[in-house]
Amino acid sequence: MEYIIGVDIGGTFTDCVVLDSDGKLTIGKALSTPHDFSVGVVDSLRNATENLGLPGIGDLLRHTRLFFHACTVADNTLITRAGAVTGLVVTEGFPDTFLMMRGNVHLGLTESESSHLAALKKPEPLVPRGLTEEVPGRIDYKGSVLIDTDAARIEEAVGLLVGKGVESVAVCLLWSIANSAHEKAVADVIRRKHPEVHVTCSSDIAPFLGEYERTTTTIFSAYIAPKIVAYMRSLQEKLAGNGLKSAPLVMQAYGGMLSIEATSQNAIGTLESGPAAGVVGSKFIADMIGEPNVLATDMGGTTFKVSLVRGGHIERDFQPVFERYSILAPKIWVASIGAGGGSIAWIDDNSGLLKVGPRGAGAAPGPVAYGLGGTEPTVCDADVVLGYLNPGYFLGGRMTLDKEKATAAIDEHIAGPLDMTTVQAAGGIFRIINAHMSDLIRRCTVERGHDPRDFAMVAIGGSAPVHVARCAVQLGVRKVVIPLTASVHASTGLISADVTYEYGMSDHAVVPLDPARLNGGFDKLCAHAAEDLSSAGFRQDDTVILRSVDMRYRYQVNEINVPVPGAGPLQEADLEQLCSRFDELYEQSYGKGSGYPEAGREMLSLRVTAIGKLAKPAVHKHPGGPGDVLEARKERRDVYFEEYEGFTATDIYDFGRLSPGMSIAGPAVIETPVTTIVVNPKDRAEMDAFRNVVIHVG
Amino acid sequence: MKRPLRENLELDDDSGSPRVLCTRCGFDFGGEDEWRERSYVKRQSPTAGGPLMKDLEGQFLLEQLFCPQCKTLLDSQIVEVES
Amino acid sequence: MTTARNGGVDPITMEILSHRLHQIAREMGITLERVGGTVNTTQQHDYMASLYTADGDVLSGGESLGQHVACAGFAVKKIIERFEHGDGIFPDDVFLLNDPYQAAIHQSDVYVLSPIHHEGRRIAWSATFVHVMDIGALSPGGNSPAATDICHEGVRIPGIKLVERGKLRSDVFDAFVTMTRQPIMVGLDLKCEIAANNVAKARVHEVVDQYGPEMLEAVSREIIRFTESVLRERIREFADGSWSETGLIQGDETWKMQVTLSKRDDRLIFDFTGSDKQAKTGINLPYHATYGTCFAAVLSTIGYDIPKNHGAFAPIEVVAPPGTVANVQYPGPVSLNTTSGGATARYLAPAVMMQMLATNEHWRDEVMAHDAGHRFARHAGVNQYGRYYVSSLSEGAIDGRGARADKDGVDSGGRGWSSCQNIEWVEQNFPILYLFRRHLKDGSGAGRFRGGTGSETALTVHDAPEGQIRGVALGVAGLRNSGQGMFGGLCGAPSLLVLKEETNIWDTMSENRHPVDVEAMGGTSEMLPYCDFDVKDRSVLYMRLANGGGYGDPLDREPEAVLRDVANGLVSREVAQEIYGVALTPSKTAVDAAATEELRAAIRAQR
Repeated sequence: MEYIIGVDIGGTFTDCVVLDSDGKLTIGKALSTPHDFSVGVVDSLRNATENLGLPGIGDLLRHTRLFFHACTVADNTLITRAGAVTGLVVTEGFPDTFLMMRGNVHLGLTESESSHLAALKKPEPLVPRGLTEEVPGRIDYKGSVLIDTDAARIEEAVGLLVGKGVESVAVCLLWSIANSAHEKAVADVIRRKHPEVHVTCSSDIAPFLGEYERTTTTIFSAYIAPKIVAYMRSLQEKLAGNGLKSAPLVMQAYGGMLSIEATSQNAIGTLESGPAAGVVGSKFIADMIGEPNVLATDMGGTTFKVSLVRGGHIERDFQPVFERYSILAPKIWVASIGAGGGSIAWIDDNSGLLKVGPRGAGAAPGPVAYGLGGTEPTVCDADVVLGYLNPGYFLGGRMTLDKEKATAAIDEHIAGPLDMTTVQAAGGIFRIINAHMSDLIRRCTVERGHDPRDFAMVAIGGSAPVHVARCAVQLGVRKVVIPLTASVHASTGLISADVTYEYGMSDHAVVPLDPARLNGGFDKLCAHAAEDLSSAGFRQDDTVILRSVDMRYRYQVNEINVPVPGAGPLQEADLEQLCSRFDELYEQSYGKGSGYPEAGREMLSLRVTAIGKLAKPAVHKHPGGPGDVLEARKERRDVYFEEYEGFTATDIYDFGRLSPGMSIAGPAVIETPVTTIVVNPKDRAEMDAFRNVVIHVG
Repeated sequence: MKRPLRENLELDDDSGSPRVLCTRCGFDFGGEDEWRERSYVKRQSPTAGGPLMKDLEGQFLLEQLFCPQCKTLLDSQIVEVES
Repeated sequence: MTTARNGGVDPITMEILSHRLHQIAREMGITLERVGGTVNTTQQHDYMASLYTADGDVLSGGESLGQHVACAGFAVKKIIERFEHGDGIFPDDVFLLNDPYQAAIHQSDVYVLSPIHHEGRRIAWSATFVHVMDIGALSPGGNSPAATDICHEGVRIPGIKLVERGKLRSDVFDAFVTMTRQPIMVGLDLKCEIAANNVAKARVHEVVDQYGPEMLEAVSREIIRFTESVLRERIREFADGSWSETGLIQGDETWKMQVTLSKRDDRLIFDFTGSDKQAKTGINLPYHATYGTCFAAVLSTIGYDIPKNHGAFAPIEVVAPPGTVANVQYPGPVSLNTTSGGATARYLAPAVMMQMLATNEHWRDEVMAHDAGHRFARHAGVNQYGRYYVSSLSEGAIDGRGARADKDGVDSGGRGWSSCQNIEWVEQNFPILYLFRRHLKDGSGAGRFRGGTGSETALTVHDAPEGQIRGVALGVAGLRNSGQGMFGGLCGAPSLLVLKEETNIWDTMSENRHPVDVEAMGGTSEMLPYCDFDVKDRSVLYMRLANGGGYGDPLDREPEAVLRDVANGLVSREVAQEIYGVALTPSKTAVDAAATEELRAAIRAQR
């Protein structure tokens, strides 16, 4: 037997999924260990080993062909501000680029935060002004050297930083994307004189136009790199020590895998890679059930997140916002709001209106019903009061919910003041949170030119299957899928991913484009790609190289990533086709007649995605059972549905006893060990051959 | 009862007619409309407010109002030389 | 706890629908940003998108600026007035208006307004404006320094149908864009406005289909009533009083603008009586622009967290005598007003509000020093690729903001949604080379809390096929722009535009040294008024942005905060000593507490 393993580190649990050569999935779980995350990784593998019935972890790892991993080390380092003491080297005359933030203090703030001018602040910078040094040297937009750099001044600057205890240096000089000689000179000095200091050059990790975003990207990377490098080393040792022979692969925020070496060189790539694995998991489900367009939704305790899969491709964001900074590292596109099971319901003193979120009760104390000291009513409390959640079977019975406390909290804080019944208040909380979530999905689809009716929804996260079918009906989405592997969804994503390298560079040119120039640029990027793929052990047959360009109309800001067809050198005709493809994509995104060809078009960057395909067994299909769906019914209880304006006796089903092909008409509730699926009165739920629950809406 | 008027000044309306007091030293500036007149006024070169105000020299002056008793700064204005 | 009595609307539906209406207005704005023609719209957030009731009351201002939302409140009502009993208002009509005597701030703000009907009955309005690139005025771009009356300032339309019952009137469309210098660009702007209004219509129809027109009306009424009642309640929290402030509008001449804010029970009256007579250059504000400025000042201070709608009109009264700079009458020009009269009003209205806020314990933490604007510049010419271009420098986004009652002002930023362009972006597109862009040392106004630090920038021409480019010096002229101090806090250093010619910068660079010291650049130096100028080979344009004004007495500032500012290069050791009275140890790494106490006592004694 041979295995493929995916291990994902989450906030609380480290999850593990093992796929064997027969296509059978086995799950392992352990607590995450923030002091050294690699401990939790090994623990989860041990748990999976037990579930597989193998004698020891070595018996699993020795037979593992592929090992995939997603870690939160980068996120954790950033959130806890536990990164390296980082210094910054910049071009003389421009010391404050990072601190100025291009003046856009509002980026990353909510609307209400940014409207309160008297409270506005910039974030505490990762590199304080005192750890920034200017070095001479000026390069222009063509890459010509106007002022040469000076080795002695570089040594002096670096020496000052090291003297102040700097452990990692970010180097970002003006126009290093056109000529990286000066950045290389700085890096050389650091490597020669201070080999213990980590160095990150902007021209290596983000060769894109725009010194502010490039500086930010370089600083973030420099700040987290030493932690990532140390973690990767420790992980590799532990896995190899337990018998793993293959080289582990690490999930990147754009949804692809890289080797440990490549990850160490591009530390920023692992930021938010856990959620990325989740989206890859949703795409895996979508492929499984043959849906090309998917709204990948995730609703946990605090946030509701939406990503898009369109035409079988996950939408990416080439300039995502982290905290309050914009970063030039590709990432899966995601939109989120503060809406989760722990979102607090409250009454606005001014208006007397019921509000839900964005503030949440967090994991501790959490909802009132958890009985951990929470006093403010939450969405989860409303879900208990309305009968959706089973107080005796929450998380498969691992936790008991206190319905009385939840009721009392809703009475005291909401129902009483609003002169309503408990159920009206709980129903109100439920409707309002669903409306906020629908508004977010609307922003992700309608506002970006997509019709939600063309999408299926994949719902993961503990709270999603209670709520999202209500959003679906609001928006005309016809199908909601709750995957079998919902509890280890990100790990499932891991084992479905391929090795993927991303390359890019700024190359500004106005249309008509010169084919020779484009071919030259792509040749350079593709050569890198071919080299990396081959040294990762891929044969050419197993690789795919995709080319694209970022384009826009002149004077406009909206950039569109336009795929470049084929693999060969580009001819004039190809470029004309590229332009018309751009016009098409633009109108698709921004509406008919929105294009502005009269202004001319321009190209901004070249991008190459290099994929190394990994062979994997197909997931096992379960045969349909002959049984009666009523055998899966565990009880009846009163559940609230707005269609009936009150409670109705509702069948409750045990997920474990359902078999493929079974169909349940709403109203109904299906309880699984990890979540609760609400089937609304006009909907119908069905179990598919992979044991996913599919809700057909309306 | 005392309530704030602005930084370093408060209004005391215990006695029926409100009086403006210095919050630092308690100096009594009189009624609400009188505190400016009763402040100690100093006019000097605008550069007393910072070296980069030198462009204003000749045309403008820095006019500052202080509490006459404890010299706490109450107001700073850039005024034209002739005014 | 307030008990909800939402005019018969249940509080849940009320919450869901008011959120939804806000999202609709916001989506209109996104539509403008996405498909707009000018960078004003696509990058600088200079637009307005709102929803209105059937009678033209502002219902939801989305994320638009308060001033614009207020002006638009006038626009819809003017259209109703003009058409209701004349040519009629029909389903799927779309109107255009840009007359500053009706509702626009100046002609460049082109309004597009659209009624929304349900089964033949008007149930709402939507409206947008964008600041178009050109309006056929005396000078390209719309700001015409030489204009002496409104007829020099371009196309002026008090109301016309652009779309009639769903059909675009191409005669009107073509006539309008043809009167401008940039017909394609302006045409695109009009189209994006129509698109945004169509979005509003579609979304409002969705709401009405689900909830019915009666519910929409009830909710609309309630949202407006809510804003009015909260605002009145908050105004009532302050003791009655009145506060005054005077500002100067500087150009070739100087005009005075004056305001007195009187707070009476639950009303605020802004009275501009005493302001100078209207000018024969375009610095004048139309009444609704003056009104909008006061509206914005009230909402951004005591109403930043409540919906911006017509409810805020009721408690705010603005008195501005006709024929003054605060209420221009025909044929007074207006095209320069946003950076002159408007900038002064945008300083005055908040300034008096702040004086009021300071009198209330609950509100005093909201006090913030304001600025009187800054300089900026446009540039145009042939770029390194041989194409003619017109653009603006965007450093205005990195000026320093005013100090607050409990914290320093924001350094380099926070003015709004606009962003400063990357240097690499500018240099790639235009024949410009930056010499430096950095925080300005000693620029911020001192105080217990200091103003935000502004920036300074120097640039020259590089690879210009014509050897030079053309500049237009704009923004608030005079030396009393920049951040104004509050309650003793000092003013920020003035915002300047300085043109240096015949400098030695290229000699310096050829010696592999960076020309980063303005004083050492040699050549001539001229402080630019409102004018056109050339940036030639060896010329340097030096630009200093506004610096935040300080708050309170600098001797009350925490010495540790001064130490931090010195360490971060924002305050010099001299200013630390002389203005803040803080003595540092010789290594500048710690405060010398004893020496500081002595120094502060000495400064106090010398006052």
